[in-house]
Amino acid sequence: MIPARRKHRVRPLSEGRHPEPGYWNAAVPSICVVPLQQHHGSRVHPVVAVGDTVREGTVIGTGTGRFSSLVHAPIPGKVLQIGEIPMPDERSSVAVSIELAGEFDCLGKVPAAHPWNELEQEEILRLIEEGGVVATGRGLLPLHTLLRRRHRENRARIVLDVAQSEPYVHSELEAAIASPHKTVEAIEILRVALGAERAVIAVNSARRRRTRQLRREAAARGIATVRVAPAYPADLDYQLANAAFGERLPARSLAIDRGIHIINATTAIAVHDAVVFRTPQIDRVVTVAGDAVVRPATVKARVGTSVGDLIDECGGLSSRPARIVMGGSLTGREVTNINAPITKGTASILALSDSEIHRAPALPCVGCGACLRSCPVSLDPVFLVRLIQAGAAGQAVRAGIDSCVECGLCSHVCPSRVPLTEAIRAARAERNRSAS
Amino acid sequence: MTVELYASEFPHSYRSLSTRGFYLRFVVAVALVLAASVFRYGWNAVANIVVAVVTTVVLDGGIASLSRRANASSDVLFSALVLCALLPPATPWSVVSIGCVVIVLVGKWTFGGVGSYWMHPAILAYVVIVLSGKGAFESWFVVPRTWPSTAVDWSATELINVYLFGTVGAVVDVGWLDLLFGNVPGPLGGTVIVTLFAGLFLMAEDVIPATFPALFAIGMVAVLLLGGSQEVFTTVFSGQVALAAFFLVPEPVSRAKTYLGLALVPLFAGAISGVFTLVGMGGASPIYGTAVVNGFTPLIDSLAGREYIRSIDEIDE
Repeated sequence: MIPARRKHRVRPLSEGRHPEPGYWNAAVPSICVVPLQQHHGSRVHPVVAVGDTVREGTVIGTGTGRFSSLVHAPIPGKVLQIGEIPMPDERSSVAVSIELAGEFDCLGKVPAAHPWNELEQEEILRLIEEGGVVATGRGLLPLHTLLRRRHRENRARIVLDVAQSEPYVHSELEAAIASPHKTVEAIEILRVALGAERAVIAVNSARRRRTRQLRREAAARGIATVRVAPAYPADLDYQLANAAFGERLPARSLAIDRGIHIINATTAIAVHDAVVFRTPQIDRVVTVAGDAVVRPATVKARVGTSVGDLIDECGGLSSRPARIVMGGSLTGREVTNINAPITKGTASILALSDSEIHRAPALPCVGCGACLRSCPVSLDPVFLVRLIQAGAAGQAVRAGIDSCVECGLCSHVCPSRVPLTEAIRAARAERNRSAS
Repeated sequence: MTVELYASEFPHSYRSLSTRGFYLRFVVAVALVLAASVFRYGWNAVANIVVAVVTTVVLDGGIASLSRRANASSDVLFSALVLCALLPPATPWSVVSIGCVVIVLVGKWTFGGVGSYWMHPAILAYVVIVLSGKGAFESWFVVPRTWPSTAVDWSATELINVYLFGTVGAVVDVGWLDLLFGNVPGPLGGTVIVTLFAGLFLMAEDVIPATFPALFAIGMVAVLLLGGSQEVFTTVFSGQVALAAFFLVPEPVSRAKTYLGLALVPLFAGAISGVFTLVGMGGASPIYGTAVVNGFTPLIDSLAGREYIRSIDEIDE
């Protein structure tokens, strides 16, 4: 066991121009390319054929097994194409291309609210499953699967994570601030679904003023709020479990192993919509930022909207971006085709300029210790990478390679640009491949 | 389906300071200190600086290209300039060039190039020069051109006393401004006020933390006070102390890695420098003190990071 987890002392990372507060609804695209594999777990298959007409919220993909989630049509229209596309996480997915046509069933209409207080646990879980809600930010697994996981020793507890500490990414915060009532009601729904006795909201201490309404709503329902440091990473499982319930998680264990369910704000709002309005998860709040974007902002867009459409929504590009990234600047994936679609798990689109990337030639490690001091789980990344390079996989495991949370901070702070996170990640992936 | 996505590795943004970047800032800072020395000591200083730069760049570049290894030549350039700043103003250029050869060949490449050495190459070269030039070394100190004007007639003073005992106040009556402006015989980079400015520049650029010079000074002053020294002020306000605190202790490769190590190493370096001063090792005490702690930094680091090491042992069990 690796008990050593020191207090994280890395200062907040810079993130260029701040996106403007709040979010607006992005224009609905004329064509949506909806990847069916928007979560980890079972393979999802299309249940529509080319030429079919779909309505807004029609099920277009379904999987088999426990770890599967439904995928719904984000726009009404006609199925143009069904085919395989590569996904940013190196997997591939079947995608359904839908051309906008016909009338919207949800857009512009006030949905009817269904009382949920009388619902049984299993009924709520079924509604969440039918809504195709995916737990964003935490492994991208179908939420109903995670909620059905019962812990024998610990009673379920909930942490609503609004902290979202990765630079540039503000989608969870903006979603929670824009819909405080929905967010807090979603916690109540999840409490019933889990039989949870306690629920806590974790907010970034630098965003106290902006989360005031959310905290008031939560306090009115007896939900406590805890502040986490404005550093990155500040919302790892062990950090939130400690901040919310004073519980010290052992290394390599997840909060859910102790019955602590960490739910992001956008996931909570999707739960609310699925249970109260009976509408599926077909949109996503996304931060579009980076110095190359004319108007950095947060927008709510339909799943399957292209990266290029979202950048256009924010005024387009002011300069040629050095890199376009889907996700955060430390853990996201580079996108080289701006027609790439967003999924339920896309928190941000970044168009980074050269001055934000700080490219430099790779040099040998100078042993400055920056990675050692920055690691939130007290690993020695250089030592691990040397073990990996020496082929000492067993020693690397004993040195805690499995505790790495792949936050990317060691690579970020390395002045010699040694690809530390990449090496650790590749070694783990290789080991998993050979094990399977 | 025409949509394509290409995966790439993360992270996508890095800390602004690269290895070359922070060594470049070190070079700029020490160059600032040496520029002041040109004013004080004239063309002799220029000759030594040029010899150091040329020797280092040519030798290091040659080895790097022959070995075809990635290299950041600004690291040894920084060490060579620091060596110039540490040496007496009248050091023969041949001695400076030998020092630079030691920096590049022994200090850097013997250990495998940038990042592999465990001791500041400038300290190593300085110790080699002091040991091999015993006797002649003291004669390389000269009277600086003073500014603002001082009433002290240094020409009537035995400079050897200043170097050997490092206690300027005990030899002649000088004011704190004389100490600050480096109006005392000392190393080439002995203008304390310029070194302080250079240090502020490094701190502002996030190259060194302010705790390094602060802890070094605290360690030294504490030991001098405990030892009953009467010359605490004049001893701490010397050029060698400023150079050690800003350019020797914080050297990126040889400094501590852990949080506790980063606090302990400058504190110990200052304390041992104080002890060396008390036992009469003279003005070079801060350099010797730093050299000793520099050598033990890996040990201090491993003791400071024992929580982590113990946890690995637990896994082995």
